[in-house]
Amino acid sequence: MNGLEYIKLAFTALRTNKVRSLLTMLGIIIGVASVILLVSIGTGLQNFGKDVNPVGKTLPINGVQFEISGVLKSKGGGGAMGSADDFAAIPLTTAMRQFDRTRPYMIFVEVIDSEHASQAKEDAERILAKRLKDDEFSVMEQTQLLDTINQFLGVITAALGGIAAISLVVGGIGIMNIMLVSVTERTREIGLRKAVGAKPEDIMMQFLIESVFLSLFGGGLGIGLGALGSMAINMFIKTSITAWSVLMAFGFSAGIGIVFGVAPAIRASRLDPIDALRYE
Amino acid sequence: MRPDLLRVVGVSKEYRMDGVAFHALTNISFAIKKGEFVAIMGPSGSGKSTLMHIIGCLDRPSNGKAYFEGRDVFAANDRELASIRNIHIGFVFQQFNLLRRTSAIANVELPLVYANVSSNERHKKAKNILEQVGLGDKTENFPSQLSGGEQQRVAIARALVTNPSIILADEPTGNLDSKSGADIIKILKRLHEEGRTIVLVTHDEHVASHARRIISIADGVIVGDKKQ
Repeated sequence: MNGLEYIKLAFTALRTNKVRSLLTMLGIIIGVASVILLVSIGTGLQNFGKDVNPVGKTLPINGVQFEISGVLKSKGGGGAMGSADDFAAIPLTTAMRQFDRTRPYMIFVEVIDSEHASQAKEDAERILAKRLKDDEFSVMEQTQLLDTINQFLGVITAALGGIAAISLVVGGIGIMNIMLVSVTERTREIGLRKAVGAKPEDIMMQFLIESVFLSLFGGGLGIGLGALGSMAINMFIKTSITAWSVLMAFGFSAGIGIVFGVAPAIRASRLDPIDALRYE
Repeated sequence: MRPDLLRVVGVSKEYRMDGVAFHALTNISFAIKKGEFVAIMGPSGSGKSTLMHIIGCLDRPSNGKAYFEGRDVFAANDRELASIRNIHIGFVFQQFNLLRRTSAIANVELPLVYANVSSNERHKKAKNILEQVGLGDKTENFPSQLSGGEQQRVAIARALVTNPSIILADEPTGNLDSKSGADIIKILKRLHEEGRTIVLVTHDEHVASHARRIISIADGVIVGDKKQ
């Protein structure tokens, strides 16, 4: 038999058992799609804001357009006053003119390290107390939370990566199961094919082509579904598809599909035709 | 005198179950000439199915030889045996053994797929044979849409489509009602009249009585071989 005949034979068998073919592909599709989607969410979170360069753009504050002259290094943090990154700095005199103030109402003080924070707070209170009444000011200490958001994002990414790995394994087991079951289920068919003259390699080739096609086509659909899902989520939060997640998910699922499609087929192709025919 | 189509010489088959040897066949020898209609008859467990599997090159004997048109069959490897089955042997099974969800005509075409026959040619031959067994109007039906008798006729068509040297039918009427069974026997008799070699394996004396020669087998040995 030539290659084209084998391909025809395999596709006839796939068409004949549409439900089984679809179910087999479904495992691969979901496995691949979930990995791509979850990794794209994790990567998107990590890259949040990194890909935008705001310098030179204008930003309206209270109806007045300000040109952005630079971006401060991210500090991270949170707490009583919100994130330490969550502010825009403008010249003091401009601010007093634009916002109709005669004096600043908030002063940020940067401390060398967190151990000196309470000392700095006391110093600030002492200095301010000399000029202002007690109820005219308050000093708040913000605990240094450098990299907290990054740590948080790291945890989220790790969690998503873990979920992706689990779905890959679960998907892989699904593929493995359905491949093993479908070959076992077809033992009688294999017996009959051998009885009417199929050589061991004829059986092998048919199953090889079937499982390669299901794995590759299912993997391709999985990439499509993962990309679509990632685009859909991108409307709400930033996602970013990475090549390595696509390759890994596709390679892993397709590999499992092919290995567990072919291994039982090899066994089946070596079966005694009568044993296979008698198989219930 | 016509030459032997098939010659079986001193064939034995033993199985081992839990270390205990079970002799399914012991020192079986006989010959079948081209155009014969032979019944191999015996009760269940007599070894007749094992014998059919060996004649059909589906199984290898533990001892002994079989010659098909003078060729030592079991000197061949598994690939060559597959090729012998494909070209020379047509099987009809008790369970029909048709592929489910596969049309009658596609079932009949199956042996030709493995004989490298082009799909046009396959289709033509299969259709022609299905017409010969009276199923010309049901070529696209699935086995589930056919009666037992019709399924067995599809199986006979599948056995005939390669124009084999010998038809091996293993209890072909075993799963059929008497009317359908009689139809199948009628087809086998017609094929014999057309000059085909037929080996019918059965436990049923009435079914065997349609053959021209009955080889009786019991406990793995031949206990009778008479022409009628």
